[in-house]
Amino acid sequence: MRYRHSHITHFMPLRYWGVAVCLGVIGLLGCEEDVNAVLGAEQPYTLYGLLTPAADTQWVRVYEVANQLTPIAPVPLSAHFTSVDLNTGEERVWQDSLLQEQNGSYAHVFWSPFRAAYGHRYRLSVTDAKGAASVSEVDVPPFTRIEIDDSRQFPPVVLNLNIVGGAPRLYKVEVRYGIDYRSNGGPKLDAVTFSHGNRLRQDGDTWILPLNMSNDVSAIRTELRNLGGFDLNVGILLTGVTVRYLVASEDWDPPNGTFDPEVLVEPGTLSNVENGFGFVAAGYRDHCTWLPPEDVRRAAGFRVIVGATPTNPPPSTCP
Amino acid sequence: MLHVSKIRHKQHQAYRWFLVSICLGVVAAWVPAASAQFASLRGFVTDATTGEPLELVNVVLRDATGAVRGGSTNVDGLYQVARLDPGRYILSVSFIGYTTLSDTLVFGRGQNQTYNVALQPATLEGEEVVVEAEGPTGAASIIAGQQIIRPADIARVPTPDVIGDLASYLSTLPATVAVGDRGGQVFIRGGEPSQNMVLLDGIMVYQPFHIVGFYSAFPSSIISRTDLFAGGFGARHGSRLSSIIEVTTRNGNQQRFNGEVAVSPFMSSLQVEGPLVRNRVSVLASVREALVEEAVARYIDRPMPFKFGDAFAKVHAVLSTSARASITALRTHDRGRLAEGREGEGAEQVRWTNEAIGARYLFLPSVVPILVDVHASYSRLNNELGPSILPTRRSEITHRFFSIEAQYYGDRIDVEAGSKAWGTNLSSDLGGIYQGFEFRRSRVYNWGSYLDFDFDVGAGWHVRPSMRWQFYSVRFKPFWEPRLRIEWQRGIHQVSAATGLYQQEIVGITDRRDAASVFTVWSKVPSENVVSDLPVRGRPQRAIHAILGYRASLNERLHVAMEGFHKRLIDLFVPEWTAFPRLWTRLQYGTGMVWGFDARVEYQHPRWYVNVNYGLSSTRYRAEEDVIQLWYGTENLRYRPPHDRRHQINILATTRVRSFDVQVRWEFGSGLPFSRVVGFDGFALIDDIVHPARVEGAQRVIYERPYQGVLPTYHRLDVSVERRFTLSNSYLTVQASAINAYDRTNLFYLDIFTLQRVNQLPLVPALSLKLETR
Repeated sequence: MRYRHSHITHFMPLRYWGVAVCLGVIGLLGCEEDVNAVLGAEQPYTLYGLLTPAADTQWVRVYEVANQLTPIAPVPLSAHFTSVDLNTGEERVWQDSLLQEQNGSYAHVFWSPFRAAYGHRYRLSVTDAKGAASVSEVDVPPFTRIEIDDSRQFPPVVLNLNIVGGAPRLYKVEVRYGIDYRSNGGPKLDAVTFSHGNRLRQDGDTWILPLNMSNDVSAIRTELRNLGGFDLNVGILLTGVTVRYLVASEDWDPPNGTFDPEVLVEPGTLSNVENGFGFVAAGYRDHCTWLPPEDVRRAAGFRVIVGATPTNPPPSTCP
Repeated sequence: MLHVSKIRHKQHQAYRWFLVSICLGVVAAWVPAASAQFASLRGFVTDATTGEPLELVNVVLRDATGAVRGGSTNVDGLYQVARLDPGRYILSVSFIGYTTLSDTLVFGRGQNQTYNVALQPATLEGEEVVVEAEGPTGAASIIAGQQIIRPADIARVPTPDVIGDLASYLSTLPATVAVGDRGGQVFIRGGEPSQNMVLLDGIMVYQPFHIVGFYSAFPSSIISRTDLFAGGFGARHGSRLSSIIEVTTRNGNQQRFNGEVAVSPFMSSLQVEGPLVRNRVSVLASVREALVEEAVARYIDRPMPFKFGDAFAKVHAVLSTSARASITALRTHDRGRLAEGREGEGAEQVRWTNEAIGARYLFLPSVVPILVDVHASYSRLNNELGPSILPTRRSEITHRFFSIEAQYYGDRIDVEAGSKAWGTNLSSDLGGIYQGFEFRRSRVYNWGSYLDFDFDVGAGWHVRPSMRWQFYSVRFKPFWEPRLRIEWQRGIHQVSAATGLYQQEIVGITDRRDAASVFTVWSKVPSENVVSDLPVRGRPQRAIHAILGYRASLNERLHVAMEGFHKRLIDLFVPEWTAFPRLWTRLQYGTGMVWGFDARVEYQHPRWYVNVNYGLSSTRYRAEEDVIQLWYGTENLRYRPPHDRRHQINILATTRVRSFDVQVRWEFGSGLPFSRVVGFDGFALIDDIVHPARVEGAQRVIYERPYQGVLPTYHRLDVSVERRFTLSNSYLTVQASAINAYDRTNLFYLDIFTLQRVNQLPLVPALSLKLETR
């Protein structure tokens, strides 16, 4: 009995060991492997906003950089948002507000009741509970004005519109011609707008927009002819010219000058936030409206009624 | 005016090429055949008991001097022996498992004789001898990318039901990457699913793989043979960059009716075949419908929201001694639930249906010793994605095809020539922009001709140069596609090589950020005159293949094969990346490079079968758009696309224990690449002096550099045991199987937005039955 027992204890475990090893291997093979899909970011916040002298309150969206794609909860963000005017040293603490988007989701928009000063530099800091901060420094562009050089009064009439004051960048430069004409039916336009941003050139602190009014009149005629009902014999009366543009900060510079969300959405493509993501822009819109003199209008190809001024001419807003 | 005259000049040149190419094709096919002083013999060899054509039957003619001429039959059972001197010959038609037929034939000058043979199966002591065609078959029998798959090969793979399927076998090959037991997509040697052409009796089937990966539209019981060209295919096939899967179906029994019915928790099937007119017209029909949603889901206690099925029918007719005709039809349907939908809209689903019908007319003209093969077919794929009640995206492609081809089998030269024309209608309703494209209806007309020579140059060398010239709709000029295949055999050694240029105009656009994506929108590359930023307009996508292989039969049972391959892909459309958390992106221009190596060992014993193969592959895409510089600071970005499986191992073993057939299969695949996430935040477009609170914000995914992560490895063991019982007038086959026998948690899909993982099938035991008439 003792021998038999000894035999069993010596050999049976070996056999069982083999089975156990096989089962163990199979068990291990069946294990689930984890996937490390989210690496986690060190940057605490993403900022999107705008500082502008055109508004008396400044607003910046703040997104927390999270490890999961979950809807933003409608609770206050534990973030401390401050701004400092680096020219004056004035410091402000911004307030959180909760916004509900059209799609039902929530967003945090911080705000502060002040008007951004032309030519000032601001530092915006958003700090989390652990002390980590995302910081953006933003330069508000200086004040600019338009000077119109309409000395050239023979065809082709090209006026130089000089935007002086040292604007870092100009976008969305548009020239709107207010018009009146006799229509024999069909839809009637009261204005035609051209995008002339590609004609801008810079000379020191001045941006120069050569406005070829003769060419624009030809284009307006073509447009009206295509629309139908335009009486060629009567011609087009010019009721006013408006120049509009956006003065932008130096770093508000999208790739190829195009605001394509599919490109800009990629983190880092347009960003001025340190230890964070996003972009805080600074700028303002400006415009001026005026009615060129009769000889300029005539030379450009508009109809001019001698001695008569257009009904309700726009007040000139140009200096 | 100068511009117009240049265009006209180009068009005249193109027309001239068009006419010259037609003439060349006709002359090349005709000249070797039309030698009036020689006689020829041709005919069809069939099984006398079923009427099915027999392939690889030896046909030998011996003249009075003892000189031997001969050939073997093709997949249609057709043989041809041309350029025979007039005189008396002894004909011998032999095939393993069949009684050899001998006859004496006398040929006059210029006589083209047709001699059809019906071979009787040999019997051994009352037992029927079952023999499948021999020759280049088996897992290790790959010749420059071409592999022939027969039902016996498919039957060795353990599957969850007793009816085998081509998809199960394809997944055992090192050349193919399947996304697991779900998906419905097959990647072949770095090529994407839309770069594969799948033909059923010559009919295009756009998306034949079912949503559960074990199944395709091709049950093994309808298949006569399948040719898989993983690359390097000859000029007979065109308009695809990667591979060809050519399924040839059986004709059905011409003598008597047979049927079988099978059921398992995965699938139910019914198949019928028999003579409509005895010895002349036969029918073969099969219907299958999946039961996974009702049956498997119930006992694994896990939702299996997949519904699919297929119906196949073929009518084959012997019109005369020298003419055959057939009509083949197929319909498939698939539906899979992707996610729970919003209230009132139903669940997010992907659905697709294939419809295909085609006719074939095969005849031997009396005046010349050639075979003429005429095809006409129509196929359609409808693909939908979105809520079940109102799908948000639809894509449809219809394909009308006509071809006429001629084959000549000479003494040391075989020639194939043909001309194919097809029109493709593409239409999509995508509810906006998908992948940066806004699709509308478009039509594509193509015409192509080919000339394919097979020279037996002696000393074991076979050289197959071929040329395809094709007109695509993107630009009116002939595109030349030269191809070359070479084989050398001496003793046990066989070396093969292939190379060629391949082009594809139709593009299958899928969200390729994830290999598991099924919804495909079919479009065409932009035409020359289309205003587009893409640099690839006016040019089809192109690929250059190079293959070098070695194969040795060390003895009758042990075979080894190794093959290296390379594909260079040019003018590809690859998905751009987006940080918006959505499932589609814009497309960008890119190129691709594929390198790989297969090694296969196969041991065939009467009681044992073992096949071990290993595949090493590297696929690299290179995106070259301007934004790459902006996003990543490099001019182009090289990355591993999500189907780049680096290592694959497959072990397949079968044996017979007493009366039980045991089949075991283990597969291993290294992890697929994916893009890891750094974090999630939001995005707002500040493009003007806008109030930041009034700008519509969007959620955003901050990705790491694309495809730096690797998903877990995949491995699985499948086992089946089956026994066939003989009943009074039928056979009953009972099969017990276990899919994923050690219950490995294999990842199918990781939703990086929600971090939810969708796993492949757990351990699924199944019992299946098949009843078939004797």
